[in-house]
Amino acid sequence: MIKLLFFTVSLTPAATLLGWGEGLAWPLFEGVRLTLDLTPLSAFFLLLLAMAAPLVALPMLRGTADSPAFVLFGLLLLGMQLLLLAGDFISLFIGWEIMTWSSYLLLLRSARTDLETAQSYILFNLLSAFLLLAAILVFYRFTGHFEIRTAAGLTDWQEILLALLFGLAFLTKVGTLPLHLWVPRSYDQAPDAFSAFLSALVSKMGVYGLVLLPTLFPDALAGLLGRLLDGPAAGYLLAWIGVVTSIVATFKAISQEDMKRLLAYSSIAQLGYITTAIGVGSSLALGGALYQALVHTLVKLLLFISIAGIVLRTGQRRFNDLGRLMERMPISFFGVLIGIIGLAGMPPLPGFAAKYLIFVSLLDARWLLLLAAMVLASTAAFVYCYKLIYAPFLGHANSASAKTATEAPWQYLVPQLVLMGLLVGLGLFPGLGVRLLIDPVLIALQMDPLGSPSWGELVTPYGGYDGVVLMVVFGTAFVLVTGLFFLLRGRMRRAGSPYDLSYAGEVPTAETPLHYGAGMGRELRRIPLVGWILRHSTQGFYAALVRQTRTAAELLSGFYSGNPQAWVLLAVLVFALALQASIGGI
Amino acid sequence: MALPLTPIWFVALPLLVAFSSPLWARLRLLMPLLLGVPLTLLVLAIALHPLVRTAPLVETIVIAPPLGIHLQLDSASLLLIALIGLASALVAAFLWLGDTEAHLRGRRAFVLMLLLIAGCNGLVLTGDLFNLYVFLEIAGVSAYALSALRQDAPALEAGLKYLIIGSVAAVFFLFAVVLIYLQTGSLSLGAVASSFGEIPGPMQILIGLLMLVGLGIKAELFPFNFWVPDIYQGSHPAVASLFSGILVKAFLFVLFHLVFVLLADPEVIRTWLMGLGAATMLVAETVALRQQDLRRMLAYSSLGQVGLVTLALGFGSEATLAGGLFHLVNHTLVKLLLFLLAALMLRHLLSVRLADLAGLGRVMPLAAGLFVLGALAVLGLPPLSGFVSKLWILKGFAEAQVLWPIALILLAALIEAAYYFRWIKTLYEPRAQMQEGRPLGHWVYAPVVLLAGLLILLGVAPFLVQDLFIEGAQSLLARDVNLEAMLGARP
Repeated sequence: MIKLLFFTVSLTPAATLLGWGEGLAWPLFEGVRLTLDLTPLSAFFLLLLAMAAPLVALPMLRGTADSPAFVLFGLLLLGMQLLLLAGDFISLFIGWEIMTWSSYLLLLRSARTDLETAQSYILFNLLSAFLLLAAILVFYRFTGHFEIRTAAGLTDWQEILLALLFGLAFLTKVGTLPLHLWVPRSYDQAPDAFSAFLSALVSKMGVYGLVLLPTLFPDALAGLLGRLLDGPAAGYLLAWIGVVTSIVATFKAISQEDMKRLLAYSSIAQLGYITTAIGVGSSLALGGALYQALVHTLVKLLLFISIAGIVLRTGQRRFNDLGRLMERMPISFFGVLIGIIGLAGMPPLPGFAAKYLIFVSLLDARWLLLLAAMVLASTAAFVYCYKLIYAPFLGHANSASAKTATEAPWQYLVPQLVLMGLLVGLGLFPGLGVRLLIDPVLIALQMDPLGSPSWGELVTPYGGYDGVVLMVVFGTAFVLVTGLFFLLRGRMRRAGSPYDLSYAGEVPTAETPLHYGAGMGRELRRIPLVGWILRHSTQGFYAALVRQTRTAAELLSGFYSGNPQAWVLLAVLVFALALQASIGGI
Repeated sequence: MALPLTPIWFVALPLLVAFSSPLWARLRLLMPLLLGVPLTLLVLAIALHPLVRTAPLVETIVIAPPLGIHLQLDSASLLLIALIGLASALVAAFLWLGDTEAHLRGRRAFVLMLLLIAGCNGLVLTGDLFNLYVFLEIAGVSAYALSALRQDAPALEAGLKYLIIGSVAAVFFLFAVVLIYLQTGSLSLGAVASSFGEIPGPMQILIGLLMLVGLGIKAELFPFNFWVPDIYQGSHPAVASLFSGILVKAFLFVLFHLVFVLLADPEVIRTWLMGLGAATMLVAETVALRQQDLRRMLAYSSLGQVGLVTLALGFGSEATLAGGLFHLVNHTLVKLLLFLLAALMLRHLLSVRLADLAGLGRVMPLAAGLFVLGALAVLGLPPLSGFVSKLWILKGFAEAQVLWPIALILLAALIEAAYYFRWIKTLYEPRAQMQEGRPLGHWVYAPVVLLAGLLILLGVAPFLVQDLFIEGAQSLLARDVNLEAMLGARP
């Protein structure tokens, strides 16, 4: 009963999206009025939320009903809807904060969350929230209102200050370098189904904020510091932040030994692409950013839910403890397979369309160095994608639980199937996504729509492709290769006879612990720059910050001794000094 | 005197009831009366609200000229009176329903708490410096005795320490009053205020500093607040909730009332007050990071919030004043909630140390959940009331184009979050083993749940009460009107 109610609650974003009528308003207090309205931009992100919420709710339903978690998830959904529908900054902030604390409390529902993770999650997110609040107040000081609309009549330095504050707030949420410390830990330790939501949706709210910025200062990117090559100079910095984030996070992801941590780093990297695209700021780039946001949401939901199923059935999350699950969990295998194809941005799935748009926009801005760096990051991403499919599903099963695992329960499989369907559908019709989802947003942002001649086609000034044709080609190839494999399989097995020369040495049996993926990524450390990246982290800096604060607390608590004489003495001393200072000064 | 609705009842009723306590003890009416008296006062305050809106009520009872009792009830003091009534009623309800320790339900506690209420009401209402001193002593003495009520070593130590530091504060304040009397020949606030400007400058500074130190000790401002954690830790949490919720607020109000009445131009002291507030806030929040005892942590957090309120009130624009008053009310509600929860935890587990509370979320889910709610409210996270008042203050600063307090307030909130969330994480520690403690009845939670409901209600619909705060702020700022009212009523 509670479960049914909870599932209904998870459908509310969809209901909001479909049933939204007039704008709402709620007077808060003197001079502050909350207004809610649905704009095309918020509709786009609300659509993501509406899609994801029931898909994440379904796995959460399994087992005994965890009512506090259900309530918190409901609050989280409420906060995110408020955030997206906000017509003024105060509602945005209220939604933002409700999202922050309810997701924090959900994080605590996991038995694995430790104190450092919890603290880093809440402190970074509150830092982001308070930066946002500071930005809102500065905005209010300059303009005299809280509404989210174009701010006119600001001087250059005012715009820079605002853009800096807002940007930092949203970038912390997105988790770009060097503000990403909280991301891998919390995605890793959160309850398994909830990790999917964190990575797919909560981080997108930062993206929403970043996309919102150009509507506040329409010519800020272009007009602020002039233009660099063919793109805005101010966005160049943002674009580099994004690219550096993706490169570092990609290499970090490759060297991870833990499935969820790998996904967390890959999430940082993917959001790095989006940041870059927003930095470019042209309509192609924003279209790419939105497309990437859409694809990343679908892909990360799919991957995290599939992995959650594996963790549920095996209790293992390290690559070395898994293996050979392909036969035991075939649907999960296909889930991860589709997921990594989307993640790597390979055709025919829509990840390719998103990446293609971003690449083309970089080309369009003539930012070739950035393009090269981004190609590097997205190529390196193949390695961790490969690891993700190879290590758990192929090779030897390396733990008792991996040998006896069964397919994930239906609560996990239904979302996977739905997501696979959506990804394939979107891959077939990339133009449909552009027409239905991206273009309305771009038009609302007063940019040129991308447009597409038909559902199946994606068109840019630099050429495009037809999704249907591509899918047919790939599908045919897939069927052919698989068919050939099954045809030839019998003969291949016969070739491996125990009397063969290849078995002359030690014979690995099913009992021998053996993992072909073991140590994968270890060699990366020997590559000069990559090794440096992998050896360093921002952890030391933040640890030092915490240490300094503790020391300060210790020093200051010296005042609060339990000695009344000291209290009186201090009071009199301060009194005397203040008297001396003020009367002597006259 | 026979008038049914006059401000004098706010002081007289608790005093009368307290002094006839043997009768009530005989009739077994102690607990109902302890709840009933503040409730009556609350109702009275609400009934007086329409009257006060039009003009401040001033009442003078002449004992022998020039001695008399001047009471002045304006929108701001009415707010405080109502708050005191509400808060003490809630604590009384907690003591009654909560089946608390016997020493908190006895006659002595009854008398002392009513005296504390009378003292605080008097502090807020009085329009006369000498009476102010008298009420300061009444409130002070009952507070010392309340904190020593348990009569074991920590409680007695706390009471004694409180007595020492409280007396020092009273001495400072008395000096200031004496000097004022010598200089102006009058003790009525109205008369003093109108001639305060004629006192020579250095003497003004001396008086001001004496008052600032005296009231600063009482109102827990840095660097005069070193006594606070010891006292709060030594007292019973329910008593500490009264200190943090009522007593400090009354003194803060007195401080700012004096500032706004005495000084023709409060701007001269603005930097001082804002500096004190900011220092109080930052130091207290930083020190709280290391605390291992819930009561001590709450004491530091209380200091931090007092600093925030001082910062807001000290700035003295209408918006920050209204926000500051709102925050004062919110903080009272939140600290009542948190201290009463601490009392429950203490009774259940016999300890409120951080390490002993690990895993509380499974044993006392309701208490832990309410603690989370209180923590969110104190941090000023929406949709709870702390957010609205903080936003109001911040908005006031932004309107006045002053940005540094905004940065400091947000920084302090971040530090505050660091320790509150550490406690929350500990409460929900999944691995900890926790033994079952003494069972608590369901009614115990009624006052606490009511508080939580108020926090949510005020957070979602603050427009219901906003006029109270705006009027309060305006009446604090309307020096001329106040003076006129006070002088007009002089015998």
